[in-house]
Amino acid sequence: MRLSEALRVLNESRGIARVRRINLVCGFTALHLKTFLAAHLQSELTDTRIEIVTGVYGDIAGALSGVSAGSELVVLLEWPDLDPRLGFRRLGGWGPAHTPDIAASVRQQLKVLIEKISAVAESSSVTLGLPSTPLPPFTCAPGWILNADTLALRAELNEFALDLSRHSSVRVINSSLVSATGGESAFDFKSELQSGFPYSMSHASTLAATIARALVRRGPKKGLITDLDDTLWSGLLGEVGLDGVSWTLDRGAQIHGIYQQLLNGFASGGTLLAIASKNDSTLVRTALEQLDLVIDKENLYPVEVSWGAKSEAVRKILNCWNIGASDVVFVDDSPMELAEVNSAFPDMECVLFNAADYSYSYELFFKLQDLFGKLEISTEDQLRLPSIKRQELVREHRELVRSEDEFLEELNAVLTVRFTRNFAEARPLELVNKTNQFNLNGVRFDLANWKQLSKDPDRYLVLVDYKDKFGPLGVIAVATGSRSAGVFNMDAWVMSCRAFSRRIEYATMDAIFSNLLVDSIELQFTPTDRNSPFREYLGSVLGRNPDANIRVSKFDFYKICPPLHHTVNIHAECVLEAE
Amino acid sequence: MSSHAQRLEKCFSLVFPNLSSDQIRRATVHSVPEWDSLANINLICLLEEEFAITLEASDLENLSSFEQVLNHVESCHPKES
Repeated sequence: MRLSEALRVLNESRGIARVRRINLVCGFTALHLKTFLAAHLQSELTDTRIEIVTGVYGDIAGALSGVSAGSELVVLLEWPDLDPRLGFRRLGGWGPAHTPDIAASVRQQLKVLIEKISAVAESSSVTLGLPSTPLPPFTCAPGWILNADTLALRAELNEFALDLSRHSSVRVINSSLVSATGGESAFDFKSELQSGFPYSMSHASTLAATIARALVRRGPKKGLITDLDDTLWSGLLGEVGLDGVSWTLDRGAQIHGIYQQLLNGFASGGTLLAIASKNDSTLVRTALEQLDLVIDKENLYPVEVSWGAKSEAVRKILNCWNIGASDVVFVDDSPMELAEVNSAFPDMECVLFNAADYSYSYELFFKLQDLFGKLEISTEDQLRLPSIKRQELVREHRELVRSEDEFLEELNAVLTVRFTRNFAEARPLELVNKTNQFNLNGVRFDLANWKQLSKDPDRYLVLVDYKDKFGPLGVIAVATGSRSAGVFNMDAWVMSCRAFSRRIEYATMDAIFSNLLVDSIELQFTPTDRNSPFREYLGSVLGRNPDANIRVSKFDFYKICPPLHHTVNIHAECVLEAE
Repeated sequence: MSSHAQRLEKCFSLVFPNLSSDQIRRATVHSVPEWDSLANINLICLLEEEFAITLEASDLENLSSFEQVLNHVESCHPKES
């Protein structure tokens, strides 16, 4: 992004009333970084005006002390913030006489910073950037050698970042990736001396874009649908047969092997993988049975092979997974197939696989990593594919039994409902932020706002874990609200689509009525483009189309509540009785 | 208005979005309260981007009005009109 474009984006946002404020803490003059950060965020969040607040020049520790709870904080370090002698604007001395003292002062400053950032991270979210400009020539060693003094500084810094990265509210951005991009040098010596701003314009923009990405935190895509021929493997199976397809270095097809290896990694993190191929289905079945692929074939589900349109195969896969097109990436070597699928599913990201182009393929692997990468792998991530495969068994079982009630009874379902005030766990926030269909109002939370909810002494977080005779689904529903004068005012409630049709939503309301001892539940309902399942549920409770903000009395709820066949275990991690 | 003047006006409008076209053409350091050191740095960068020229911070200290900046830009690119 050029500066003129950044200023244009910001000028155009001036009329937006809703404001998102970001605290940018850095020891240098924020100048264009502030402009670029605001502009990159503004481009992502078009309904919100971005306001960047900066602290006092050269005083990172002071700025951290002044941060209020619930803030969104960006801390960007450069070497002079750790000791001014590691910059060019101060003349405190370089060389062997000074290096021990510089090292000691860096150690001391990192200790102060880790304490301050950890304290701030208790109630705020922190995005941390490590130095992305080079060290000055402060040692006697030649520049092409990393001597002990330099390595010791880097080791201290790495240890500092490692400690902070373990904090659930801290994200460390990959500064080395930032400095490797752009071509132009990251450091602008003239700008540093003249205005105290250390970055070249292109580096400032790239760094700001990376920080913006970390702040916006788009959730990872949930599924990848891949073609087979010249994508998962090299060669056309129907033309060359089982022996003709390849994915190894010795046969010049390593890029396909790397792709398979990458997909395997995604699958172990809970990403769904499926095949959509125009091929002979018997031949593909034989190939998947007999070929010793890098990818674990158990991870590929479903496998849709036919001579029909790819978009039809994709539609079947989406139905099986029960997720939206915008959560899925389609990979194929044919631009025509990509266009056909994209025209049927405009929200789906369609990506070309082109093994003939090495640099394109190299970049593709990192692009896919960015699309599917996640910081934590939850139990639910690991349960996702088995539970989808079990849906098939559930469907078959449902067809065999006489009635819905008989079916639900035979499931032997066990619900564990946790009432807690602990908002620090990752899974509830993840579920709230990625669930679209059974979602009370579509409101998303950033980590800082979510954790702030725990400050309300009347607020409860309700977590529902489900298992039945087909296996566990893990934590599949999350609700939160505040109790006052016999009313539970619920402002977030989501349930995974994998748990639909099991009356878990009724059981959740039943658990709230029975354990929080309230007379009614007020639902801060807002219809969205995608929450029709929630709307339908509310319609069934109310006997009419729901408006915004609905109150359901205990009396009315139990009049319509169908038989619940779950065994319910209640875990109260906080006092449930009203005071 | 020359093409340089139009392009320069665009640069000024990005830094001073509240000014009208007429106000920009009459703008001086003294008549525009927002024309501070930060605005100066942004202007330098925009002029460098737009006209592919190199400016020092001290240059703009001597260029304290739209008209003076325009004359400077035209002296760097005398042929365009």
